Amino acid sequence: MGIGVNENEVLSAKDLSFTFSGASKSVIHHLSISLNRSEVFFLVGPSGMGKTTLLKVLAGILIPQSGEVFFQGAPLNQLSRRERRIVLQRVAMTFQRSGLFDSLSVLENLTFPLKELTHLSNQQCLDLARKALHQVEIFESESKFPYEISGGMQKRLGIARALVLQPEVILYDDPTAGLDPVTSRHIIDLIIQVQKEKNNATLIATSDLDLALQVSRKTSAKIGFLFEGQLLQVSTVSDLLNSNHPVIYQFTRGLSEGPLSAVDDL
Amino acid sequence: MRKRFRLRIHEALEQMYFLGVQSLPIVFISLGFVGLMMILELAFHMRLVLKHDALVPAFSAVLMVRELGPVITCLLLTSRIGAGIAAEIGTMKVTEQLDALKMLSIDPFDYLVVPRWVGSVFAAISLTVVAIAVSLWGGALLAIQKLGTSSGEYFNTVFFFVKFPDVIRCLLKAAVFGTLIPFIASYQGFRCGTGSAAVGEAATQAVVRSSLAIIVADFVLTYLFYAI
Repeated sequence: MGIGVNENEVLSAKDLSFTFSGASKSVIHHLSISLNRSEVFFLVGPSGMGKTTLLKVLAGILIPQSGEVFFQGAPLNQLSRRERRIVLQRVAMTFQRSGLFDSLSVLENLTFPLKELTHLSNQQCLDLARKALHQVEIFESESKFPYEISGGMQKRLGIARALVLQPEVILYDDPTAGLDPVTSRHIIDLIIQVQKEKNNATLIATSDLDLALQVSRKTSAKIGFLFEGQLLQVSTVSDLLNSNHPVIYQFTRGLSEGPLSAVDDL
Repeated sequence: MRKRFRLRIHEALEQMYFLGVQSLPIVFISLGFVGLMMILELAFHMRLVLKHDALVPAFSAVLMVRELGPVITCLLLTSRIGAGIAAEIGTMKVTEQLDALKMLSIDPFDYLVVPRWVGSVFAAISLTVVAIAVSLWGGALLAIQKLGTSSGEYFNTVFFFVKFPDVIRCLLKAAVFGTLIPFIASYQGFRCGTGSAAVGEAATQAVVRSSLAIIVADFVLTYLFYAI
């Protein structure tokens, strides 16, 4: 992970700024970031510092007021609607609040993107969807609705939906939020397994430093620390843990006193 | 693109069934009683002022076709579907389902609003036709029983006073009201804040604003159709 352009770069953004309508303060502030092929990158930082917003801008869900998002060097904002649609199929995202379609069954949540975005037959869509359900081990719940399955299974389904279109980049937004430690562990293992099998570029936004530490030990991931819409530091895990920056120092050690206590959520 | 179009048709048909067919009982019962009530009220006032009630069926039918048919039907439709549309879209926003649609490059307006618009216009027009038919038949039964009118007399008077342009204007009104409901309700859903209270507020505002819009639009259309 780094800032700049290189051949391995799959998803990047330059000088991004994003402000919600009606808000006086920008959530993302002149931020540049790039993600290389097969790379695992953690975006950590306190809640309300713009992690979710940054992921949504990178996934093309939110349009930045300034700056540009590039997929394999192609600027998203300058693509036609059709080209943009094709490009964004290669970027998938899982959501903090699941984002699963509650009017569709577990299986339909997976066949829906396939039917919408590909020209596959119904049977091919079903086969791919069932394969993804097997991969995340929730195939026995295919006829249930998302609200009928547990939080952990919803996270798994979110991951399956991200996988079903075989994306090159997967963005995970707080994948272990609201889960017990055991289920969190299963989700972490699943994310690592998926990354190793598919070799996707993976960007994981989380406030859970333990999650970042566990995964980065197994995948040699890098960590970016996001604070007030800007990346304060991009480094290895050990560099982040040894950082003397007062905000990072307080966050990594979980101290109650420090600059973070005075920060308002964005 | 071909697949996508087929899916939208399927969505629109679902909405037609949900918004139109499932609203039939409430419209059937409500407008049936409105028809009965109008015969009683008009008979009372006509006897009081004009000293006879021969024109009760005509006045009742004209009032129903020009005003009460589309307005009451669409107000009932608003209370039944307006809150539902706003709450559904609001909940989808809160639970990031709208973001998931955008991530799949699916325009939430195309996917959510257009099928509901098609369904709502279909429901408003077809339910208005049913509502007027029910109220006229209900009125006929009561007129025959209470006013001593024959069924032939009743329907002859109705068809003499209710002209074809009235029917067309009636259906146009229904189409306009049927357009207002999903657009206002969807707007409330899309601008819904976070949390369950915000979803409830969006649903309430959808009903209030749709109802108000129908009443104002009815005045504007009546003015355009009959006062100019």
